[in-house]
Amino acid sequence: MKNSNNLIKRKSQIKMFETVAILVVFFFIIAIGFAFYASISKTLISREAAEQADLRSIQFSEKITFLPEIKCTSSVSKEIGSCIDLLKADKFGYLVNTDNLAKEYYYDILGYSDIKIIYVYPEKESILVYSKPKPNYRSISTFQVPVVLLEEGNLRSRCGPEFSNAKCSFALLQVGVYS
Amino acid sequence: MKKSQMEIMGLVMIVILLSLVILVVLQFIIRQPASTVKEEYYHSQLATNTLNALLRTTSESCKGYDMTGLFKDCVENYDNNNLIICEDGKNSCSYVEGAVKTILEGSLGALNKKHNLTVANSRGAGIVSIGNSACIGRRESSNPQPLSTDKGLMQIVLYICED
Repeated sequence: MKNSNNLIKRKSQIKMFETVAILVVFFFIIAIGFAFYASISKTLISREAAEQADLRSIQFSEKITFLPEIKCTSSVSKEIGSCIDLLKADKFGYLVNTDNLAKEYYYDILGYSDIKIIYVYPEKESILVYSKPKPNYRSISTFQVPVVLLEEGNLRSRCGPEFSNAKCSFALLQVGVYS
Repeated sequence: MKKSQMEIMGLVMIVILLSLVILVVLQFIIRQPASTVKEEYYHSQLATNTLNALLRTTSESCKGYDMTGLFKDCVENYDNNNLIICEDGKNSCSYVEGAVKTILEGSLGALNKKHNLTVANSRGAGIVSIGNSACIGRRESSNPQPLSTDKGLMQIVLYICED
């Protein structure tokens, strides 16, 4: 009687151990699956975030090239495409860097970003128009747009002497958006 | 080996194979190319924007002519040897070639984009070709810019190669 009782006890112990082992393996598999899922989600989210940042920098560069504060004033501006008036850009840069009210006002439009004009032809030093880095920023998404830079004179359809007295340079408008 | 052991081995093999398949699939998902928004925008707009700006750029030392003016002079006066002579002694053809090269290298070259700019007549025959690639494969082109000359209507096109 005692022997058969012991046997039953042993059998149930083995069964219990089996159940526990299955549970352990089950949770182990779930943990691995969750770790995989988490790492994939992280990759996908960071990729999505980078894409959004790129999109924002593109939208931003479009907005800036059409900002009346720096854009060339010309009746044929549609024909010319992206054109920046250096005199206006210079004054704009001075204003947003010295006047607190202007700084606050343009922060609403330009946010945390850098706007730089990089000369390509002729080669000259770059001009920083606006700069407001985000405190503790994680990344900066930059985007460059080729632009005509009106240095002096009045622009008509072209910059040559047979059309106008305008002097134009080739530059890249570099926009950096902080995130 | 007992039959049950064989069965367990089979199960293990199946699990390993399944895991491998999942890993390969995951790798493909993770290794997809990064952000394409910028690339798409560059492809659709970069060539046109660059050409627009380039043609309106004033030469540094060629009597204040812009690149369009120099191209026009080069096409019109190449045969009669009556080309504009710039301050550095170069004629309009060689001056515009050097200036356009500098601009394209400084803009598209900096973005690692291979490029080719061609000036062709209305029959499509190329007259001037400037760039660091023949752009024979897949390429994006700018909107052709018409150039009216004594020798007929020319077209300036900028190609950005995709390979």
